[in-house]
Amino acid sequence: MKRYTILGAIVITFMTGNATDFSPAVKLNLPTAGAHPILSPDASKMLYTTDNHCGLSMVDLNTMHTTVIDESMAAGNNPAFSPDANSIVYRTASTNDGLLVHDIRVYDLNEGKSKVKAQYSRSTAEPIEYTGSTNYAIDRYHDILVCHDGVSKKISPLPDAHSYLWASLSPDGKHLLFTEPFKGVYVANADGSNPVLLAPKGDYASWVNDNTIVYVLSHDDGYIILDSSLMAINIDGTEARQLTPNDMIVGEASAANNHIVFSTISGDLYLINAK
Amino acid sequence: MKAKLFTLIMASAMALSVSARDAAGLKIYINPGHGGHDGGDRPVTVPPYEAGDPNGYWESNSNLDKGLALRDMLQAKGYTVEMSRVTNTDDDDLPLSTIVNLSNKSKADLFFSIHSNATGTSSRRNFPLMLFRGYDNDPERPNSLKICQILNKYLLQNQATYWTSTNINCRGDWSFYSSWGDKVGLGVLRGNNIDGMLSEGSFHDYIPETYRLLNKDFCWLEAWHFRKAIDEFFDVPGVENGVVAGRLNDVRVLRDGQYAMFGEDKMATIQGAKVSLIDATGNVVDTYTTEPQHINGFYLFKEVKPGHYTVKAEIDTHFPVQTEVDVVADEVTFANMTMQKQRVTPPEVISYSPVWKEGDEALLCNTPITFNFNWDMDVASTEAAFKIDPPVEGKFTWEDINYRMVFTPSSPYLTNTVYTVTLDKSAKHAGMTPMNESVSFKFATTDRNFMSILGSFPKQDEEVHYKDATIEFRFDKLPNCTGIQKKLNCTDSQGNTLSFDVRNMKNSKVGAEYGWFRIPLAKPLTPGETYTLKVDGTVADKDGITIPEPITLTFKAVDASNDKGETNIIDDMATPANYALDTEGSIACSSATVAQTKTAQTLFGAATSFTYKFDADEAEVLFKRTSTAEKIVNPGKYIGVHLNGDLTGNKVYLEFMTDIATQYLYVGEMDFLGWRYFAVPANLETAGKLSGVKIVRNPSQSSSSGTFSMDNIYLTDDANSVENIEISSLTVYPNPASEYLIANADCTIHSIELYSAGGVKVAHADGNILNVSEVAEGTYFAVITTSAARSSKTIIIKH
Repeated sequence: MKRYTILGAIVITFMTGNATDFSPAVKLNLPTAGAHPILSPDASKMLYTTDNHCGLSMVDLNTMHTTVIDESMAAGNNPAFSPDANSIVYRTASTNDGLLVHDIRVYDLNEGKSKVKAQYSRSTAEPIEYTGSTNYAIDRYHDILVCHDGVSKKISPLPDAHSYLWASLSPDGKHLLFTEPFKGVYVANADGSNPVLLAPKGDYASWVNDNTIVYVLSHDDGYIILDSSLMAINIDGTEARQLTPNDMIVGEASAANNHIVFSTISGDLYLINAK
Repeated sequence: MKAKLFTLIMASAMALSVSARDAAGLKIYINPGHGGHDGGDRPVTVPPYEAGDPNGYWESNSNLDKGLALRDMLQAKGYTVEMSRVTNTDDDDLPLSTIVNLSNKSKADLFFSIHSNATGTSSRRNFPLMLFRGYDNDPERPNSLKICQILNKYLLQNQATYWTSTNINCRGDWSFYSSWGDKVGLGVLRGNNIDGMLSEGSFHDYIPETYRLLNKDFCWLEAWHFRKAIDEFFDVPGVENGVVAGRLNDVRVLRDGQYAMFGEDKMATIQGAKVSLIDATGNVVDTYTTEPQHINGFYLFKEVKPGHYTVKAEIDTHFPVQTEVDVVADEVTFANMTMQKQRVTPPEVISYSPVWKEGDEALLCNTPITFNFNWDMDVASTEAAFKIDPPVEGKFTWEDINYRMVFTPSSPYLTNTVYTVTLDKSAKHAGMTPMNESVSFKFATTDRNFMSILGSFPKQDEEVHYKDATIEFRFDKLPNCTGIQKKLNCTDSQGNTLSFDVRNMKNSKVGAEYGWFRIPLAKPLTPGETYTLKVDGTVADKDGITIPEPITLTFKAVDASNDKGETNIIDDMATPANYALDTEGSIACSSATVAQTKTAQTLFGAATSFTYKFDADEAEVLFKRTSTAEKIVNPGKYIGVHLNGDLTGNKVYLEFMTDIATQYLYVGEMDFLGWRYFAVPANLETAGKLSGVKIVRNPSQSSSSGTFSMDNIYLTDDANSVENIEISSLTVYPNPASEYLIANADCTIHSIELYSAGGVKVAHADGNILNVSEVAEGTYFAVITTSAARSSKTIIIKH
């Protein structure tokens, strides 16, 4: 039995025509508060971390069955599903003599167990690089690693970029989405060419489908986030819209296969369907 | 000297050999907080900058200065550094969650957020606050608390600032900002997966610190302590050289500014001074000029090789000073110095006030005396040199960092007096050189040195109707009513303070004939209870001229309604139309009206209100009944009257028509507010009927107009009047009298007044003896005013 609660306060009007339509946001009734949700490629499962950003849990969005995968520090920071969705690759953080180190762990959904794939190291790669995927993009601070058909290439789509965040390929593999923190959210060809600015600010940019992305737009006073909304926009720059009400402060978000999940700063998790 | 050098070298060597970790490979993520001079930034406007000037103080500026300095120091040691911004524009003011993700992505070993604190209130202070993620006693990452504690220790070593508290002050953001929600905390720590903290290094709205933080080198010094903490956190050796820093203050001149300042910050700082660092061989190895535009007196020498040095400070306006310091590797040597101003000429009075000459208008009796000097003056010798004749007690205040002395008399000067003020040449400036010549001047005072009280309610021992009780004072000039209610205090016999209905307070406006304020008590009084009213002696007019002395008086609450029954009513005063102005019976009365008394102010229901305005000192107004009242009043009875007074002091009479004449019965003087019951003997020559109400002016500044109400008038057998109290001990003799009428009682007798049967005052004397030798023979009413009450006696004058 699905344990969803429709948030009455959020009423999103379904759009017509070629635009992506969005359902009302549904609050997910989970046993604990959570943050940093990540959807599986088919949007049937959601990974999330605790409200203090520790550990990694998974919820089956069809059954709402939750599984605690790992309770280690930073385990929920950018985990990745394998292409067949049978395993989850994630990394945990620790300190060794005061220095930050990461390991790589793989959780087998069939066995229900995690195994260490790479020991703690100062130079651990991103989890997605261990998933076996042959088509992906991942930001690595100063550059983006794009893998097409198993061939990886470091690119920097903007010549004077400070850094990159939230890089990913569209589901059809044709476009690259990324954020340059000081410039905004861009979409480019999959090889990084022809970058086009979609929004001057935005965090957690993610693909809803091949044509639409979502991101989180926030404002702060230097200490606390004052307001934060989930925004959607088509990659041609049209149909920009706000998906969450002004009185809701959104934390992190991700999207896949016409579904969006997001957290609020107070630890609630929500699901939106798109079509 | 050799031994000292050896010690220094050994200390430096030990400092470098304690740890061996190389900084190379360590990565620090620096987040200079805020940015962009926008709404999320935190400016403090201090001269010489206007509000909004990006060159003035903004937290984003000093945070960036510290961050860039820290970056350079760390990179010089081999650390890898990433920063969330390196400029200060709106574009580089990243969202907090972006900063968190950059920090995580950078794989830094330490996240370091740089801020400064602010009270945001008028209460100012200055101390460091270190914040980590988690609860106070339960950090999410123990190493985050560790770096907080290390940094807090180093920041408190800064002696170029002034700390109002030197306690270690490390807090978990979930505890410190609990009002934001559980586990919400600081945006840059939320989701940050590395050891990290946020430093509120000092309070930037503590104005002396604001000026220090405007100095990039002072920010550099804070960054030095950041670097020290990071080195210690990672067990990285320190640096080979040391730092010399300090602050230059005047030894005795106080800092000029109307803001909070503590400790050494109370002393003026020296701007534009040249500070030299001189090595043991006498060579000047570095110089520093304290900022001319920022009031901080701060200086700093970076990269100083360990050794023995002399620090010398020079500026034209002060005598040079120097001190010896030993510089140690990786340490800051602080050398705060005080300087003595060079006052190269004798002190002079460059202006004074008041400036007055014969023929000029006389001055207010509270005029302060001001001297402006060319130098800051020595307080003791200058105050001792001050003389005023005739002598006046007063107090001295000093302004403009002792360039101005002000003498304010403790009590007003004498009226119509010429004063001579002298400042003897023994007055010295702060360098202790006396003046060359004494200064002397005169001024004359006006004929008024106190604000006179024309009337007030209540007075000592007065009885006050318990409902709608109101305090009123009338003065010869408009009082300064700002906050005047705070200068009044009313308490009951138990000492409980009564509240005033401040919202319904009223006071005189510019152009009024006299000054007054009226303030109701918030709640009814308790009949029978005794109350004390105190009025502060600082109640003053708009020129600051005060009342003669503080007032303390007691009064008693009573119920003024005295119901004698329907059958005894002469007039229930419920019909104003029964009365109208009688112009023929009035004198010098330009206007008069009769109306219904406001319901809220009535005593027995409907009552009649009379309003009048006089045009001369000798004036009276008669409100005639349209027809006489039906009730016949026979001599020997009493007339009971309920009056609601207007504090004019004017006299109220009732007019009676008898078969042979029109007679006026004196009821009382309207020197009160609220309801009061009067019972007066019906001294009519024969039976009569009520035919009117007359008001006779009792000339004073506040008697030219008034409004009073009248309610039930009774015919009664008794005289139980609030006003006309029978004083058992009162004797008035002789009766009949021919030359003097004498009143005696066991209370103070203030006055005797003699009224004819028609209500005309024929004689008056303050005190208890009245000369009646010139009064025509006849029957009169002697009204005796005592400290306890007013009472009347029928007196016969016979020569």
